[in-house]
Amino acid sequence: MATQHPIELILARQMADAMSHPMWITDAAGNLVFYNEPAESILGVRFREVGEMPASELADRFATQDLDGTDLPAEELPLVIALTEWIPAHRPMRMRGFDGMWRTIGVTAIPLVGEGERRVGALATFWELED
Amino acid sequence: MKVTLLGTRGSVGRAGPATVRYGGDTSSVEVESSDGSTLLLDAGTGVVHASPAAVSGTVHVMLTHLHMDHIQGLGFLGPLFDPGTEVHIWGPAATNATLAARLGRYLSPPLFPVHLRDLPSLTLHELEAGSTTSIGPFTVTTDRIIHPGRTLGFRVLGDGKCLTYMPDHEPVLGAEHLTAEPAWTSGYALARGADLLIHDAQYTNEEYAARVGWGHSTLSHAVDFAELAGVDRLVTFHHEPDHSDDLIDQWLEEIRRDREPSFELEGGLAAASFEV
Repeated sequence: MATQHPIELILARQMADAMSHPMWITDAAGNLVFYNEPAESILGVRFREVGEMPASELADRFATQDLDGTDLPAEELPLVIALTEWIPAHRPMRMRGFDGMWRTIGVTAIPLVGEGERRVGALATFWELED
Repeated sequence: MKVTLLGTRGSVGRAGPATVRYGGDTSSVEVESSDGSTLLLDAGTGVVHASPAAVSGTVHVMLTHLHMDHIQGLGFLGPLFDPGTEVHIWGPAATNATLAARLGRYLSPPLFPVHLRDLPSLTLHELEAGSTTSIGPFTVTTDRIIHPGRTLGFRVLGDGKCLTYMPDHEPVLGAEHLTAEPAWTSGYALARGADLLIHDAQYTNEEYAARVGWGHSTLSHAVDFAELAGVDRLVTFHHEPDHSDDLIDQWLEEIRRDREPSFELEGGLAAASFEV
């Protein structure tokens, strides 16, 4: 059958599309599948310009640091925790957007676990913090 | 495969002179393969019209979900009370209760005089979303589709053909129009390229505006979905109880004229049969 995202991701995207705060959605493999319009100003690029993105490219496109400026290991990123440990995770951090700008943000990620314990992805909401 | 509409009405039965042709019974469809094997899809009040072949020997009833208009006929399905007939009921799994517990809310006093546990030769099967099940010559793939509660759509393969059954489905939820992106469309994988799609077309555009989130489609949504999925034939289903035969005819004629769909579009008439 043709590729179709799980219903839980479809509903998550529809919810994100309707929200006025930034939201980012990945599939179970960590591939970026969607972020909404409010997220575009923090990420520095419109979603329609970049589209879905493999997990392997995300670290290059969106660099991350701890608040003190040290690089953050991937396993400490809230989204990675949500996708590997399947628990919600939160932390403040710094992120370099597609436009090259570093911003200080808070990130809260939750795993998306569907019917039958199907692990379908994760959803993160984030917001800009004052430096 | 031969596909027969036993009950086509949505939400609640509506018998009367205005609903004679499209029917007053609620959702149920019979599928028969070339070797005579049968499946019953949903068990609304229409299930009582199942053919003798479908209610003898080993009977299989597959439930998309447990809303009353899809299970009310179960209590009146003769084989359930016949110790000589083996009955299998397949329904969506849930996290909070077994299928037996959920069906038992209806099939027990005071709503029904007989307890589910007292029915002879009944076997229940919980269907996980995304599962594929072989039943005789049929292969049935399920997936969650947008409708309140645990609701499945079915893709039934048999005799080399494909029937997709989505009696209750709101793929447009949260958007103004159906997306043009198959990957982001509820039910697409089940319906893609189907020879026959039986799909919810309950509301008019005006009715839908006041009932967003109730889990149903308009005729226009159903046509959009069928176009996206590239089906050969769309049969509309789950007719709104207040819609008369004449109104349904009129709306079908209008949308055929205005949209010129690339597939065959038919209104789901009571007792209509389709060779797939």
